[in-house]
Formats: sequence, structure tokens, C-alpha cells
Amino acid sequence: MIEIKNLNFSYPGKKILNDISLDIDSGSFVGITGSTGSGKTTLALCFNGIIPHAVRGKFSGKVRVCGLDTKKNKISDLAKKVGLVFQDPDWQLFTLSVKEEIEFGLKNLKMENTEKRAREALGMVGLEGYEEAEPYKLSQGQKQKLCIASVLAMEPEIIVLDEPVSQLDYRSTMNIYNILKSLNRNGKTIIVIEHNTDLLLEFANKVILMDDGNIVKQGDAKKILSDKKLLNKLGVKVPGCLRK
Amino acid sequence: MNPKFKLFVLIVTATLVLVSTDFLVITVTALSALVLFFALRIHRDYMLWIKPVLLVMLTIILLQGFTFRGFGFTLEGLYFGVFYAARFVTILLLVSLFVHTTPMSGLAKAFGFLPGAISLVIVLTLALLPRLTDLTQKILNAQKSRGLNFRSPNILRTYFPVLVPLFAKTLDQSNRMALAMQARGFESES
Repeated sequence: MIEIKNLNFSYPGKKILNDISLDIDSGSFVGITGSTGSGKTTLALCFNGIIPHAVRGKFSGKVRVCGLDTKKNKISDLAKKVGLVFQDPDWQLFTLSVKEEIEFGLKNLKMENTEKRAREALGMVGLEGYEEAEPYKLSQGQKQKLCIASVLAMEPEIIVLDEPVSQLDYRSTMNIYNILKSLNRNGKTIIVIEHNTDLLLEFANKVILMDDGNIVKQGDAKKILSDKKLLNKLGVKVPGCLRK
Repeated sequence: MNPKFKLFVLIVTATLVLVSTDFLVITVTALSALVLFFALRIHRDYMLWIKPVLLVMLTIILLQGFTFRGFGFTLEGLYFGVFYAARFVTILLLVSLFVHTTPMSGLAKAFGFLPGAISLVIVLTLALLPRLTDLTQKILNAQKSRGLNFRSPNILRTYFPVLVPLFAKTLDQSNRMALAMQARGFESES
């Protein structure tokens, strides 16, 4: 589903990703974790072609998503395969009604049945009846759900979320993660960048551990997240249940 | 009231204020707008803006007063300075009244007749306004809590610590917003 081979990326004067190679299978729930500045968000931007097409920097290596080479395909083509939800919902909602927000991507990709798709996407995240609401006036949890719905409406096979619950309380956090779990059960590949290792231990089946632009370890979530010594060394939180 | 009709009234009144050379027309329009401001109780939301607006008015008056006929103060210049300042404030009042009494979605509909790209820019700007207001308030609170004195006579020293993070954060977040739009298939030519 996602194959990355020897990916390197540098912003002018600063190397961010260093010889990254990884494979993500279809239908998996993957967590990417690591200390701040380890390159997680930059890696996420490579999944849908934002890097190298929209962010300037030195790019080398191969990134293939659903068989498409991200370097050779446009972001709009990759957007049909990979939906990306950014960290701060306040700065990724840019229309004046929930309905327009959902339809924004659908219209860009010239998809049909926009009304039906929008209704279904809002239903999946529990935002039915909010079609005419102004996105800015929603609660933080609802805004995050709207961001997910606007990506879901485009029916991508892979959904990438950059710290989707960093601004949410416990109830909204569990709500969002349960939505992601149900999407995963329905066949979507979910990739989450997350600092909260407790959530990864509960929901993810694969974890990618990053540090300073490198993948330190990747594989079974339980196995990686129980390596207390390694997590402590990298400044990553050891899951609560494994702390004793 | 229909947002398109409101926009039409705004354009007609603002044009009248811009082309009119009669002080009475401007005074009556400004007073009417002020009455509406107080009647709708929205004047409180604009208290923060009184100082910067007065500053702009003073600049206009002084510039006109001292540069109307070469360099040097003239009464004629002062008259035109006051006239242009009044014109500026009247248009500001009219636009504020329109923006404050029209919901965001109504504003977008009012500008719906414009070509796609221009309409999108207007919608984006409108969508950004509440975020910028929030951001400004957060920065103001942060700087106040670190002892910044807003009553200091040194305006540059007072507003610099607010404007710099505001610009930096806005530029950074606007860039992120552009990426989020591209991630949802937006292309500048679409």
C-alpha cells in the first residue's frame, strides 16, 4: 500500500529525513511516534505528495502509494488515495459552512454525488444536522471530526492524521479514536502521528519509532512500546500500564 | 435583510461619501451609522479600535494641514484634512456595520457574483478574521501577563511585541492552510 525506499529530505540547510525505508500494508492501523522534531510530520507530508510538490527542499528516494509514485503524480491525484488531516483544525477549515467544507475537496477532485457523500461522511463522524453550521463555531472535538469527515468524503484508501487529539479532552479523544478504529475495521488504512503511547498501544497494530530523522524501530506495536529502555532513551512516554 | 441588498446599499452609500464634496452629506451619513451602532449595541466591540482610528485621522489631518500647499501649515489644508478624515471614518463605520450585522455565510453569498478565484479569496479572508481576532487576543493576553504596558506613550515599543508574533504566526498558519487545501485536491488553476 505504501512503500518508501531510501527517502531523504532536507529543508534548505537542515536535513529532516534520513534514509527512511518502510512498508505499510493495506488495512493496518499504524502509529508514528518519536520526540518533537524527529521528522514525523515531514514524513506524513511525503505520503500524499505535498513533499516534494508543494514544500521546497531536497528530495531523494522512492515513495509509492497505492502503486503511484508520489514524485510523478500530482497532489490532486494522490488526494484520491491518501487523505491527510493536519494537526490544528482551526487552520485547515476555510469555508463558512460545514457542508461547503466537506464539498470543497469533492469539487476540487470533480467527484459526483457531492451531497450524498457529504451526508455519509458527516454521518460517519456523528455530525449529522450540522450542515449549515459555521465551522469556526464548532467545539474543538467537532472541528477535528469535521476535518476527518472532509477527508472521508473523498473516500481515500489511506487516512493520515497528524496528532489528531493533541487539543482534545479524554472523552473527545476516545471518540475520535473509536471513529478511526471503526474506519479501520471497514478496510481503511489508518496512519496516526501520536505522542500518547497509551493510545497507540490500545489501537495501533504497527508502530514506527522515529528519532532525529531516522526510523529507529518499526514493527508490532506491543513489542516496540514495551521496550522501556529505548523509549526512555528517545524521550518517548512509556505506556502507563507498562511503567511499573 | 438580504446580504446582497445590504452590500448594494453599502456600495451606493460609500460611493456617495467618496464622491460628495459636501460636509453635510458625510456628517449625516456618519451620524446615522453611529446611531445604528449604538442602537444595535455593537459599539462596545469596537472600543479597542478607537485609539488606532484616531491616530490615522490625526495623521491624515496633519499631513493635509502641513502639505496642502507645499510645506507649511494652511487653514485650507486643515479643512481638507478634517474632511478626508471624516470621509475615512464614515466609510469605516459603514463597512464595520455591514460586516458586523451580516453572518459569515451571508457575506460569502453577497460576494457570490464575483469570479471563482476572487470569491474564494474573500471567503478565505472572512474565514480567517475570527481566527486572527482570537490570535491577537491571545498574544495581547500573553504580553500583558509579561508586563507589557499598553498605556506607554511609545507606540512602537508597545505594539511591536504584539505585531511581530501576530505576523509570524499568521504567515506560518496561512502556509499550513494552503497545504491543507492542496491536500484536498485544490490547485490554483482549478
